[in-house]
Amino acid sequence: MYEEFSAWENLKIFANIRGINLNEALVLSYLAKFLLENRKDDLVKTYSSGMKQRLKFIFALMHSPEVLIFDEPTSNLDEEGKKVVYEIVREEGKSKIVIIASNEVKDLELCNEVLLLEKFK
Amino acid sequence: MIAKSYSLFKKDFHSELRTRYAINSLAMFIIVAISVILFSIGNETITTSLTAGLFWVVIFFTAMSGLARAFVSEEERGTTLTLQLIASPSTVFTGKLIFNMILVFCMNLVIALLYSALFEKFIVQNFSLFLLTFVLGNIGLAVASTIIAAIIAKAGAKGTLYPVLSFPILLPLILTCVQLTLFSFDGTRFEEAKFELAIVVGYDVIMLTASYMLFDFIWKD
Repeated sequence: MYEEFSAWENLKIFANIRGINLNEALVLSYLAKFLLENRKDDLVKTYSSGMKQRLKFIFALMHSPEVLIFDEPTSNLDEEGKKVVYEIVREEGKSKIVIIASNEVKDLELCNEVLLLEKFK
Repeated sequence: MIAKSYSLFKKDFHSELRTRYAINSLAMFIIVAISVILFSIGNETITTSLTAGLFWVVIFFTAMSGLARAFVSEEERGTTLTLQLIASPSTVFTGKLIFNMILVFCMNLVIALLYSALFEKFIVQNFSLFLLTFVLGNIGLAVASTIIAAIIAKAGAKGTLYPVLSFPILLPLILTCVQLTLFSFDGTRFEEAKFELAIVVGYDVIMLTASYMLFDFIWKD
């Protein structure tokens, strides 16, 4: 993320570089879900680490990928942020493949299948 | 690809307008370097060959002070991996090259204007030759600086490594451009400068081709 730009500008920049049209309605709905709608025009450098983490989720979701891979998705997030992430993972998991790498028991509870890596040593 | 590269260039351009990292460092370097040269010359009159040499010395070191930002800034902000995921290497290289090219042209235009105002021996007799040298030299400088910036972006001592790595690569270009600038001061005809012009054109073509061929490996490693 480019801290000298606002969240909305960042989303537009990455959509343009990726070569896709920014689906404004979808992105605005994600901004609302991740509690960033009122701050979308503020520079990213004014964001807390939790807000940046939530914004990263929008980057991952904005182009509607078929597979989502999350590494420690709830790190840096407060309880409110975690709730939103769990809701999104549940929702996206209905139609897409979601892979989560995590040590958090709560994160793993979202999964249909859990692979413990220590078993594969 | 062009539209994506243009988007990347636009991002860099707006980012530069907001942060002014490169513009400030380039402007400061130009002012300091030209002031030091003027103070050291004093009342003495320097030759045209020395004027041409000093002109390209200032251009070289000014480029070294500001052009590395293209890739270093992405590395510092942790956006390299994101760009690797969302854009092809040639898209990234083209975007960065357009940005550096414009920066080099603006920077060298300012240097040329300051030189023509402050150095009495900076009198161009063959303007079209000077213009062609200026354009071809700037293209070569921008291409070489951009690819070297990509190479050093992940290194620890970027500040030192950039001019050290650039010097041998840019030396043939700088030396030929000094010669061509001298020709333009002397009023040498176009036909007599053909050999040097061919070297600069060859340099630009080779650097551009090699950069696009090698950037994939540099960017992904």
